[in-house]
Amino acid sequence: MRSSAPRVRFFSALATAVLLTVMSGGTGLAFDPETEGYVRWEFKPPPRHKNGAASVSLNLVSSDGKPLSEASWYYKATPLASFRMVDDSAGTAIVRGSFGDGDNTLTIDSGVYLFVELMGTAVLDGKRHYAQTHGLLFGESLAVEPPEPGGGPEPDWPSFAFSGSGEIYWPQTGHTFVLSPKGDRGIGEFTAMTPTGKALGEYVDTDGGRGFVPATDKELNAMGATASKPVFFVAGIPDGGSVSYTIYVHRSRYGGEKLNLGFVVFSSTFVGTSFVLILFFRRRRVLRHVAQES
Amino acid sequence: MSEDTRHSRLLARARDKRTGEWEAELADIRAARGDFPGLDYFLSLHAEGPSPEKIEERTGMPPVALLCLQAPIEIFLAQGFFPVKILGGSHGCANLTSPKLPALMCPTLKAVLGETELDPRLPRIPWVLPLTCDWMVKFKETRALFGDFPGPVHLLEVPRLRESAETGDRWVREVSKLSGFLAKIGGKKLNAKNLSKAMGTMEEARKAQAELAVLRRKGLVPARVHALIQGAFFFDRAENWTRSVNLVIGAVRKKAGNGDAPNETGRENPVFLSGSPVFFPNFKILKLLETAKLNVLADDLCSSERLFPRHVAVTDRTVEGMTRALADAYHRGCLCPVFAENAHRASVIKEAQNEAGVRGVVFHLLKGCHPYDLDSFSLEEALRGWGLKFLKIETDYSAEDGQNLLTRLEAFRPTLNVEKRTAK
Amino acid sequence: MSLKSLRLLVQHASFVVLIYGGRFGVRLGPGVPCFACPYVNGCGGQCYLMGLQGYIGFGISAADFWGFEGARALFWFLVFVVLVALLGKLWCGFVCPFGLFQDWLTMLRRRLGFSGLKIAPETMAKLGIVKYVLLAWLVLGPIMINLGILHRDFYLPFCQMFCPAKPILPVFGGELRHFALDVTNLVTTIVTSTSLAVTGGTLAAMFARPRFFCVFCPLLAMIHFLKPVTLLALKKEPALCHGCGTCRRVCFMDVEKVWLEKAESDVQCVDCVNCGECVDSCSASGALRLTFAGKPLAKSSRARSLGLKKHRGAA
Repeated sequence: MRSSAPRVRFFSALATAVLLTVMSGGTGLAFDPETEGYVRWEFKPPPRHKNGAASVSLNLVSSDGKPLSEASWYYKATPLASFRMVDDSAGTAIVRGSFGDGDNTLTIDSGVYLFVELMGTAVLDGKRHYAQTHGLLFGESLAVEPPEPGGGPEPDWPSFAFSGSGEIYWPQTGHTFVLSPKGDRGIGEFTAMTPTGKALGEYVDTDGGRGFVPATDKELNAMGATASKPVFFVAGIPDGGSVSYTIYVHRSRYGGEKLNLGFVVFSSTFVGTSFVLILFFRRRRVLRHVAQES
Repeated sequence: MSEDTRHSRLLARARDKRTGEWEAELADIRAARGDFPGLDYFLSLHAEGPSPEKIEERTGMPPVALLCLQAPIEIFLAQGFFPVKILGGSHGCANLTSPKLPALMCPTLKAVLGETELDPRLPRIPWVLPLTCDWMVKFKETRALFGDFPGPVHLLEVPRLRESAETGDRWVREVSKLSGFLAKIGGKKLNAKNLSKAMGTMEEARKAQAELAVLRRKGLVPARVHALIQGAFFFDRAENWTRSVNLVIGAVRKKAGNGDAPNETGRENPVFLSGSPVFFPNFKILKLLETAKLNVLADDLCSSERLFPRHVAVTDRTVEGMTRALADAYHRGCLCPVFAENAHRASVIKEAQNEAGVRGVVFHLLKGCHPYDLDSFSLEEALRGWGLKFLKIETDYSAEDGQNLLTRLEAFRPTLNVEKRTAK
Repeated sequence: MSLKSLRLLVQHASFVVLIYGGRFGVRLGPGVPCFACPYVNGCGGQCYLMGLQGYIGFGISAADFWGFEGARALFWFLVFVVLVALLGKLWCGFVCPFGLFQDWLTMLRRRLGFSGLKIAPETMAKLGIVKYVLLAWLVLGPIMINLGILHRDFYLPFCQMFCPAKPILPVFGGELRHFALDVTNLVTTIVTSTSLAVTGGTLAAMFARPRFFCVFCPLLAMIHFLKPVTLLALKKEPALCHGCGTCRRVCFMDVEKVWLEKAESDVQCVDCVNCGECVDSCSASGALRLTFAGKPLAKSSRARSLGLKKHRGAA
C-alpha cells in the first residue's frame, strides 16, 4: 500500500506534463518573442526612380541579429484602380524567389498601383520561422511591366489574415489591428513587439479574432505625419518556430483633433472680427443728417 | 409815375410777353409737328405752365423749386415732394429782371428770376439751389435784389472735384443735409421702402428715356418734340410722364412700320447738340436747326437727354447705400462744365458718333454762360481728332440774331458731308 | 441675358461639378485654377495650389525633380497655364466655388439690409500685398520642409494655415472635421489654430465685404502673372467713358482703375476678378467690354445697364 501513492503521483505528473507539452506544442503558447529570436520583415529606404515607378525594399532579418539560412519568399500582387479599389480586370500575380547568402533584401518595383502581400521564411536556430507584411505601391510608369497574373498556387505557409480598423490610409496608433490565423495550423496567440521590446498598447478580443490597439506615441506625434515605427505581431507555431507580421504604424491622423476646441477658436475670432467691423461701421457712418426713420 | 405803378406796368408787360411767347411756341409746334403721335399730353402740360398749385394738384405732392440737376430727384419723391424746374426760357421774364442784373449774365437765370417776379407764389415754395456755376452761387443773394425768398431755401454745396473718396463722402453728406431740410419743411423721413420705391419709379423713367433716345438716333423724333417731352418731366408725376413717353414710343414705332426702320430723312445731316440748356419757350436754336435741315440725333443738354442720370446702380438697399448710389450718379455722372476735371464731356458725343453716325456738333452757347464757353474750346479740339465738324453758336433770348444764325447753320450743313470721318 | 445672370448660372453649375463631381466620376485633375478644394470628399477637380505645394510642385525634393516627378509637375503646370490662358480671371469671377460662397454671403447681407464695407484704394494697395506674401509662403514653405528647416507638419502650408476654404468647403460635402483643433503636437496646434482663426475672421469680413478673401488670394496673383498669355481681357474705351464711377460702385473688389483710366484700354488689373458687374452696369455704350482674343464677348450699353432687352428698334 505504501508503494502505490508515489506511483499514482508520478503517473499524474507525467500525464500532466504530456498534456501540457501537447497543448503548448499544439498552440505555440510556449513561444516568447522577448527571449526567443524570430524572423521579421523590416522596410528599408527604397530606391528612387526617375521613371515614375514605385519601389519598396524589405529586409528579412532575425530579431536577435543571428544569421538566417534557407530564406525564400513569395508575394501576391493585386493591381488597384485607385488606392481604394481593386482593378478587377487584372488578376493577382504570385511571384516567388529565394535569397542567397548575405543580404536578404527584396526590392519590388511597380509601374502601376499595386497591393502587395509578402511572405518570407527562413531557418533560425534550427527552426523554421515565417514573416509576413503588406504594402501599397503607387507606381506610374510604363518602364516597369505589371506582374503577370497567375504564378501557380500559393504556398501553404502558416500565416495571418490581417485587418485594420479606421480609414484605409496607413496603420495608425489607436486603430485596432486584428490578426486571425489562417487555417488550422495551431498558430498561438500573438504578442506585439517593437525592435526594442514589447509594444505598448491594448489587446482586444473582436469578432474577427484577437486584436491589438497600438498606444499613442508621443515621439511619433512630435514627428511628421509620414513618420512611422515598426510593430511586429509574433506568434509561435507548432515545431517551435514563429510567424510574424510587420506593420509600420504612423501617428493617429484624427486622434488629436478636438472639434469642440476648434469651434471655440473659430467662433471667438468670428465674433471678435464681427464686433470690430460693427464698431468700424458705426464710426464711419456718413449720413448723420439723413432724416431717417429709426 | 410812382415806382409801384411803373413796376406794375413792367410786370404786366412782361406777363403778356411771356404768355405770348408760350402760346406762340406751342402753336408753332402744333403746326409743325401736330401729327407727331402722343404729343397732346406734353403740349397741354406746357400750356398750363409751372404754377405751383397746378403742379400740386396734378402730382398730389407739394412742389419744391429745383435748379440744375445735381440734387437727386429720388430723394424729393421719397420724402413726398415734387421737384419742379422753373423753366427759364422766357425772353420777357429775362428782360424784366435785366435792369438790376449784369448784362452778360446767364439769361436762363434772369428768366427764372423773372418768373419769380411774375408769380409771387413761386418764391414762397421751398427752393433748393445747388451751388454749381457762379450765377447759381449768387442766385439767392441776387433774388434778394427783388425781395428775399419768403419761403425756405436750401443751398446745396456741390464739390467741384469728383475723383476722390473724400469728396464723395462730402457730397453724400450734402445730400443727407438736403434730406434733413426736406424733413424739416414737413416731408416724410427717408426709409428704405420709400426711397426704394422712388428709385423704382425713376428707373422706369430712365428706361423710357433710353428707348426714346434710340428712336431719336434713328431720326424718328424731331428736336423740338424731344425737348418738349423732356421739359414736361417736371410738370407731372414721373409715372404719368413715363407712361406717356412709352405711348409715344409705341406709336412712333407703329408709325415707322416695325420700329426698326430708321427715318432716312430724319437722319440726314445728323448733328449733336451740345452746350447751354434750352428751356421752353426759348426753342429758338431748335427751330433754327430744323429750318436749316440739320437733324439733331442726340444731345447732352441738361434740359434734355441729361435731365437725370442714365442709370443708378444700387448694390446696397439700405438708406445709406441707396443715398450713396444716388449721390454718385448725380455728381460723378454729371457732365456739366462747372466741375474741375471734365474730360469725359466728349464721351457722349463719341458715343453718338458711333451709334447714330452724327457728323458734327452744334454748340449752343448762351451769352454769359462762362463754364460752357470755356469748355467749348477743349471740346472742339477733341472733336477735331475724331473727324467731327464743330459750330459754336453764341446767342441769347432775343430774336434779332435769328437770320444770322440760320445763315451760319445753313453754311455749316454742307461741311458735314465734305470729307469722310478720318478718325474714330 | 445679363452677365450677372450668366455668371450666377455658371457659378452654380461649377459649384456642383467641382464640389460633388467626383462622386459621379468627374476627374478634372489637380490643375484647376480656382478653389476647387481637394479636402472636399468627392470633389470633381483639385485646386492647383494644393498640388503646387505638394506632389506636383515645390513639395518635390530636388533629387526627384529631374525625372518623372518633375515631368509630371511640369505637365500640370502647363495644364494650369492653358486653362488660365483660355479663361483668365473668369475662373475667379464665374467658376470658383469659394467665390460663389462669398457671393452667397453678400446676397444674404443685402437681403438682410446691412450696408457693405468698401475698402479705400490706399488700403487696398496695402492689403493686396498679402497675396504675394501668401504666394511666397506656399512656394518657400515646402522648400523649407524639404530642406529640414520647417517641421513636416507645415505640409501644404497655405492650405493648412491660411486658406479659409479648407474648413468651409468640406462642410458642403458633409464634413466638419476641418474645424477641429489638432493638438497632436505643438506644430499641428499652431497650424490648425491659425487656420481656424483666419477662417473665423475671414468669414465675418466676407459677410461685410463682397469677395473679401479674393483680395488676399494667391491664385489671383498667379493668374494675373499669366496675363500676357491670357486671351480673356477687360478693355475700356476711355473716349466713351462718362466718368460716373458706376463701375467702381458695383465692383466687388473696389477697383478704381476701370473708372479712372483715361488713356489706356487695358484695365485688367490684379484685383479684378472679371465678374462682369462693371460691364453690366456701365451705361456708356461701348465703354467697357470683355474680350476673348480681341473679339468682344460682352459690351457695356445703356440698354444692358437698365436691364432692357435688346432695344426695341435698336441700331
